[in-house]
Amino acid sequence: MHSLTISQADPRPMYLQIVEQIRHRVAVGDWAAGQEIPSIRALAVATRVSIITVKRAYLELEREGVIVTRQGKGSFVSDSVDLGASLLQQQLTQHLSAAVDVGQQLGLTAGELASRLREIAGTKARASDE
Amino acid sequence: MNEYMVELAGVSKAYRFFSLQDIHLRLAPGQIMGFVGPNGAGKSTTLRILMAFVQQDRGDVRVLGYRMPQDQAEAKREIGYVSEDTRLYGGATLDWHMRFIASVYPSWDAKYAQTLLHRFNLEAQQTIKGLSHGERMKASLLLVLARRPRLLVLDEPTTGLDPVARHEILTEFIDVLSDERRAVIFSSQTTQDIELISDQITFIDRGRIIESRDKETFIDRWRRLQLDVPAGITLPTLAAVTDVVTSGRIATITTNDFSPQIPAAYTEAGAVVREVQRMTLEEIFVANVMRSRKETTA
Amino acid sequence: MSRSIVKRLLLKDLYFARHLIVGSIVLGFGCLGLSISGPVSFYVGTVSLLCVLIVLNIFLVVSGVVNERKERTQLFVLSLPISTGQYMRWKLAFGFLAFFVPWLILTIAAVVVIDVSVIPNGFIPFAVIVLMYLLFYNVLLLSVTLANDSLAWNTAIIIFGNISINFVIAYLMAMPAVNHSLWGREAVWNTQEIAILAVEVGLSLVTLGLGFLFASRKRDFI
Repeated sequence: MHSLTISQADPRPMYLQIVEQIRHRVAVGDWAAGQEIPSIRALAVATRVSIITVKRAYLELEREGVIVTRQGKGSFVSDSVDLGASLLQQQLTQHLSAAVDVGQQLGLTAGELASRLREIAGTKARASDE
Repeated sequence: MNEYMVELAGVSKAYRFFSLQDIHLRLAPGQIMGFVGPNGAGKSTTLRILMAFVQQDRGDVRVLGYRMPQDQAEAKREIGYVSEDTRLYGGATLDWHMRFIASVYPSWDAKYAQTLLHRFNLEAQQTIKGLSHGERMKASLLLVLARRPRLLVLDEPTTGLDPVARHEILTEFIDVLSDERRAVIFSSQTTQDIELISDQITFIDRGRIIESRDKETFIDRWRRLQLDVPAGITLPTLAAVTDVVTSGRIATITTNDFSPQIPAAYTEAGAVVREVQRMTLEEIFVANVMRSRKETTA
Repeated sequence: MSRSIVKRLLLKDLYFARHLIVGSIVLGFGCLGLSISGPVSFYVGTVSLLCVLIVLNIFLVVSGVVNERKERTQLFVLSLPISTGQYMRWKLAFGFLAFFVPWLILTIAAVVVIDVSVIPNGFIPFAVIVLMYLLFYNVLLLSVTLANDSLAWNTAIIIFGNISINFVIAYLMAMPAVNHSLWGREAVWNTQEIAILAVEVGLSLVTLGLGFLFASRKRDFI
């Protein structure tokens, strides 16, 4: 059945894990555009997490336009074509936006932030070469 | 009838060395409420008052719309209760208990009972005294789950169980919720379980409810900040901060109402915010209890 | 629905106590047999009979009420769809019935045995009064145990019962009204003996009533 995996060891909040897993399924096409997705309750039971966590995840996904809920009919993946690519773009925007927030808290300028980004990208590229 | 499955209003109960004071609690249908508190906080007492095993000195108790303890016989038809110290009859078999419960409750689902027997790895023909603690808990839960009561009241159902048994049992609890007219209230010392499956969380300490709200709000509003405080800088006192621990140049801030203004205020004062961490339910629970104890002694 | 549950619980309790009930009847008959097989064994037999009934009483109350409380099977039962009032009435009914049936059988048997055997029939009123005292004691122990949770009280009543039976017997034997006709061939019921019997029955009923009253007012079961 449609069940996701929640890790309590993951520092990210549970609802976010759900959001990302659903986004990923849509991005790779497992959950097709326009397809009906499990009700909040059904997914909660299948994944063995609280309903309120799934509810929050669905709210977030709706905000992002990944899913739509039709009153009395259930929840569906959005009808948008090419959702995959735009979702990844959205993901990138969110990650970068979060990085900017943290950078602000640390008191970094945009330039300092950019050079940190390049530094990390470089390290990762070297690591994958080895 | 009433829209709430459980409603406690102004409930108080005094014992010689402990008293439950002014308890307010509400559980809507289709939800799981996790009831967290240190030992001796009053979790068991509250649940016993709910079940009319103990009568409150003051306050109203309504369960499934029935007044307790006056209408307890009717209410208990649709409630399933298991506590960590419930005992079944040692000399009888699990099968005897199953037949006994089936004869008392028309809602007994024999097929589901068999499924649970297999899932919980229990032998119906075994006598209760031969079972380990974990097996006895599973047996008690089986007897309660198989008759599909509208409300499950569980007092530390997972204490003393191995991780596999806990996982099996939590799965059954949440399965109850696939019917949105049912509800579960369970107390636990294992904050991990509460964190995973509860919709609503209620904290209790020393006979008082400290806080009761939905889980996501809890987890969202509490944060821990790690600050580097250079010499000569005084940290501002912020309303939403419940605790400040300083050790040399390092300060750990705990807040129960996080917003971006908080790290901003510290940065403005000259401190460096090294990290903003979310807190586990266990950490929130401890911080909440500490905060409430400080407030009551202040 | 609740009434039939109480009936079912009562049957369950009687079923669980079946060895105790049947065993005490059998033992009681054994004691009666012993009492007619000679002058020494008469005393042994009669005293043993009283012991059997006292022990049965204690066991019933302890296993039926005290143990259930201690072992927390009480929680299992209280979570059934019965009210706490019904729970009390059930326990009272069990504690009384499970004693009354063997008691009645053995009392009738004792009277018959005295009648047909070499034991003088003058003993019959004396025997009935003593046995009735044990029934009163059962009601007392049951009522006290149900009305409160104090182990100290229960123990006190148990000790009281064990000691008092001796005083009752001694007192009765010393009473001229009883003493005169004790060794006679006929069972003679004089007004004093009847009065004593009436007092015993009356006290039993009052104790039962009071016990039930206090038990019904109980608010905390754990």
